[in-house]
Amino acid sequence: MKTLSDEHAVGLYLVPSREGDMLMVISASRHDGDIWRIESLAAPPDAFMSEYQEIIGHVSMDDRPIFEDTDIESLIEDAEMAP
Amino acid sequence: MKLLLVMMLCLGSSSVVTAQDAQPMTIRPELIDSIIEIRGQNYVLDHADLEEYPHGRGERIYISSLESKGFAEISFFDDEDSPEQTIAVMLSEFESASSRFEVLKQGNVGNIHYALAHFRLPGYEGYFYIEVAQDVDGNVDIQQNFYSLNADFSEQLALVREDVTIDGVPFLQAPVIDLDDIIAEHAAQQATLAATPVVETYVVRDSDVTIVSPVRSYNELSNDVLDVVFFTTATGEANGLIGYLQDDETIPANVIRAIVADTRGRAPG
Repeated sequence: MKTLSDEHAVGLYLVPSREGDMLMVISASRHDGDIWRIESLAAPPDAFMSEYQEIIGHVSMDDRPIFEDTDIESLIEDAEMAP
Repeated sequence: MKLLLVMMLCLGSSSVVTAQDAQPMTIRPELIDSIIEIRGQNYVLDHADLEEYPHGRGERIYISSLESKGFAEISFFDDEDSPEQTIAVMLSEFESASSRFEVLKQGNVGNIHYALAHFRLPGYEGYFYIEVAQDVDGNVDIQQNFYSLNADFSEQLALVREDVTIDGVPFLQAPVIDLDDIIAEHAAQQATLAATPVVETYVVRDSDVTIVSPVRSYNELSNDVLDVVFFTTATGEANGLIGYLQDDETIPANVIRAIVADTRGRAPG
């Protein structure tokens, strides 16, 4: 879990599934009052970055691309460095 | 109709006729004083039917590529149907057996009536061309049609013309329209469409969600606290969501913790 600001956090998880663990990233940023903008992507760990590259630029809300303010690569690197 | 579907499903698959069928053959139709010759190099007789209708008869001769790459039909009808009606029936049969069907050009030049159509089956796309000439011998009309997959159509039509003659004249010797031109134009249109991104749009609360191919949306969820659009990537390996959650939690990390609480997720590393 990484808190980017008082208004924005992003979490990285391994979620078990029948096909094996899925890497899942979730971003929550405040939109308006108690309304949070939620963005999420889940993919097999070895395919995650290529799938992530596909969705950024193809998914947006109010002309803001998905994960625009979220550095997924560094988040994954940080997780891999963690003990 | 069932025959048409079966033959369409055979396109590009293993042959419905065998190499043993590959021998010259002469057919003398009952309804007309003509001779159909099939050389048997690439195309052979599949079978022939004599059909009785309320207002006449039809003699239908089905010819297949040895490689199942193309199918031809030569038919004679002594019923009262006009060429337009005959073509309408044939197009209707083809459309019923297709998942998508588009008539690209239809009309007549003199007494030759024609139609060129593009059809699609799961995993297959091809062209179907039909010509009907009225009263070629008394009341007898002749119908010739041919269909093949997109990429094979021109080559296979050339092969069947080499193999099949009617009174010495090649099968569909001189289509009254330029098939290659129309097919090339249609193929170019198809390529343009394929290269044009598909944009899906949704209104989520007060926001516009846009999803552009190859990513595709597959579901929406809207309830008291959640408004999201689900999507998947082209490979189907990844899926995700975007939208809004109503939560009076003030710390964003706690919003995320609440979301994953039911997923038994754990932080990697």
